[in-house]
Amino acid sequence: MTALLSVQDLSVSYPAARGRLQALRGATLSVGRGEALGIVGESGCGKSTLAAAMINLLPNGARVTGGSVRLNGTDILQLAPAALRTLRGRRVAMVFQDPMTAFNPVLTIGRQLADFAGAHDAARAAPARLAAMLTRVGIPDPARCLGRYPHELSGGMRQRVAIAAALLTEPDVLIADEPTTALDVTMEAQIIHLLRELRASFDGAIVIVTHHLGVVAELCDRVAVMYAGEVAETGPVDAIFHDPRHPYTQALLACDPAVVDPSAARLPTIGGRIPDLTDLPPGCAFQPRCPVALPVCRQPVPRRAPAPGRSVLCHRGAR
Amino acid sequence: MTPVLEVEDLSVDVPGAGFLSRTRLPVLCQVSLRVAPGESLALVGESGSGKSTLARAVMGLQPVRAGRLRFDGQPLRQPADYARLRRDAAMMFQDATASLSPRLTVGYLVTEPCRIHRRPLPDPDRTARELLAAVGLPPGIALRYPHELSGGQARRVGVARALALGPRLVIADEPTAGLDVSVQAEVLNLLADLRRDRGLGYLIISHNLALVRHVADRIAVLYLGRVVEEGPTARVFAAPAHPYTASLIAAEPKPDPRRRRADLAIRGEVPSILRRPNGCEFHTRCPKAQDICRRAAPPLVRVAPGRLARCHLLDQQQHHQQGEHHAVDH
Repeated sequence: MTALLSVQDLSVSYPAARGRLQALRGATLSVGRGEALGIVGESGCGKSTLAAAMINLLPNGARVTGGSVRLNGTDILQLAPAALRTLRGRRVAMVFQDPMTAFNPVLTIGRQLADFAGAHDAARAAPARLAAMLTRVGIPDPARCLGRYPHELSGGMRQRVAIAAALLTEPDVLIADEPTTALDVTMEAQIIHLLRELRASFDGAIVIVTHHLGVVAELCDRVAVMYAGEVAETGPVDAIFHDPRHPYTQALLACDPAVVDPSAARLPTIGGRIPDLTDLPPGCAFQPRCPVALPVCRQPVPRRAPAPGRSVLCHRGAR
Repeated sequence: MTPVLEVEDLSVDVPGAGFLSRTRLPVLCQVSLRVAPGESLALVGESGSGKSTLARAVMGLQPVRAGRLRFDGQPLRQPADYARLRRDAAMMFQDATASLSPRLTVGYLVTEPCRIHRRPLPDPDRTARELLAAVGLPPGIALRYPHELSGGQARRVGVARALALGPRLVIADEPTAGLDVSVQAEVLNLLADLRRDRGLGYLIISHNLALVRHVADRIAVLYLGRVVEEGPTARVFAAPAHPYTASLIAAEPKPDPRRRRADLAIRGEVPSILRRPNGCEFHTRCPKAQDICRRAAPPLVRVAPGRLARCHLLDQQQHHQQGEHHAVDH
């Protein structure tokens, strides 16, 4: 499968009080048509920066110090502003964590969906098409919903409308940044179910950014585990969850309360803190917290491929 | 043993829509709960189930229509009773950073409860250091301001503040919301340690079932302001009596790609309190609903020792379980 979107060796830094904060360091991953990729990691691992780079929406002050983001072979980080407008929304669409702030509170849903859909092609903004898309994302009374304001919808409904808004432009890549984090467990399950159903009829690629391992396991084909701005491990979802090679992946999976035996007196923790991204330790970034670190871990880490389609950034990873 | 907290037939309502409206909308209906000293009770349910309202009512922050509240066996009626309650029971708020005043240092914040309740504070710095040590924070953090803290540190400061007056009960509203899994595990271990060392009782409000399974002895499930199931956590998770509890457990995403759900455990969302369904209020989403569920509201009955559930279909589901069914309310 040829990659639809591929991130090659991407490095991004932000200005900080002392020096520059290395938010991404040589991140490499790719996603193909019809594939769902999960990007998982804890706060400060760079997953949101990576998602923003995939749509060239990095905040002010961010500097790309190396690498590329290619959509169908075109480096989107080099595009002129006019070409970027066509890219965003049309080729790549994004669904944010809090759908309340994604919508304008004083315009009706119908008006806003028409704006999104019609930005590039007015014919796409026909009310019947908008209503059909709302039906597709599971809104029970679409005609009524089009006349409503964002505050009149529940969180789950707003997230469905946000997904509809993203799909209306028929993008090649749909990026969802923490799409279920603000929702109840029942609504989370329904949004996961919806995204899974949409995959069947959506020919593009889906990228889910989340800190929730359960969401990745339920939804994705492949997963990239991020730590301190690097892709620590990547591979098929089954391999990563059942045969994790990177000690960070192993630790992250082990401390999820959903997998720990409820009778255990204490939950496993990782211990220590993520490193200061303005002043990284030599060698492996996880080495100060790693339970199986060796002296060699202070040396630059090679990326290894323990199996086809897998990669791991660890001195011990080839075992 | 006298329960540290007793809630009996608590009902809370709010004014209906419209400025002059005389109608009242029930938010909590005859909720009864008890927390024994050193016990941890979790209140679970979706948004709109009334769990936060219950916590606010217990702390005296929400007017109640009917029902009795007792703290340490003493009834809570007058404002003075609530002043005592707020000294001996502490609240941990959902948004830890937002609950800390941005202009005060951590050292001042953790000793603030002592100042408010006019406790003698001969050496505030030392008290602050001790409280911070109890929650596993270094003493140097006392000089920092809330915006300089990470999410996990802010949560620990919230716990230190809750401990300042030596409470017997801690009410924790979503104690790990917004934390990373590894930090979440640290906070849960801290809560467990404090419970063991200080005999704290907890009332934990959460929609995170994975968390509840680890920290709660007992669990009460709320739906539209009513308790639909209550019982020991392990047994409720092993064999939920109410279809709603079963749906909640099934809806949880499993961190195992080999155990993906093909179907949906539950559809839709909690109905609005403006339009409470007739009969059993869960029948609109219940996979097992039958005619009787649409007509009559089921009572809360004892399905096993220490276990209650509110469902018409218990006889069919629980036929394998021993024990008589006793109606405990209507």
